[in-house]
Amino acid sequence: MSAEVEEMLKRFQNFKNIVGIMVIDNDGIPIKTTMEYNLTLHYAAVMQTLREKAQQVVLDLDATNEFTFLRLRTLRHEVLLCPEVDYFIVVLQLPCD
Amino acid sequence: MPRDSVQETFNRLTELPGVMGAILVDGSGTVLRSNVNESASQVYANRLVQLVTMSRDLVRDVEPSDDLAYVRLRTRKQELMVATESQHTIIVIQDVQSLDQTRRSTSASARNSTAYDRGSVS
Repeated sequence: MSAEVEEMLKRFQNFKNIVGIMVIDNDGIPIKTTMEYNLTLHYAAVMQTLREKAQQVVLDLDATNEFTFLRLRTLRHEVLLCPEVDYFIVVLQLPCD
Repeated sequence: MPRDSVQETFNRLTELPGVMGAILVDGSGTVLRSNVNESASQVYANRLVQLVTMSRDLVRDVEPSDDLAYVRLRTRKQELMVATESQHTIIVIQDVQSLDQTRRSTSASARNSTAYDRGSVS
């Protein structure tokens, strides 16, 4: 299974817009990353807080709803946050437009 | 910007396909325009302004020369797009199905045009 995960990460990493992919567990510890480790740690910490905040916001607005995806568009990049049960994935990419 | 053109622009925004609601908020968190009921608007405004502030701080923290443009929060039932510029925040509530349809057709046409350029489409 881990060979499949590696293969998938490699495939996505080869897309020309992708800067990096990070898989982070619910405690903010990186499980897998294609980026430099210190930067990953930094993203892991801040994105974990953001993930919790986004989850809270969605539940506050509607307790029957579910937070499924977050996209932060900045001037230079796009940061995607995909929450899963035991972990979350962060992708850093260059915007298409 | 004169008041009528703000209202006009706001109306145009709410009439776009897939837009279920829109809320315009000022710097102090007061709802200026909304086509959603008042109490819900205020709750959306409070929560989402906090989320955007946190996101902006995050972006600046990781890369000081970068800045936040907008945040798209997707949920099972809807997608919320939140953008802030010089004290004002606009929140647009969009229908997930219409958005996905638009995105699918945009990426399909982008792929087709690239294929055409490469000469692989006869």
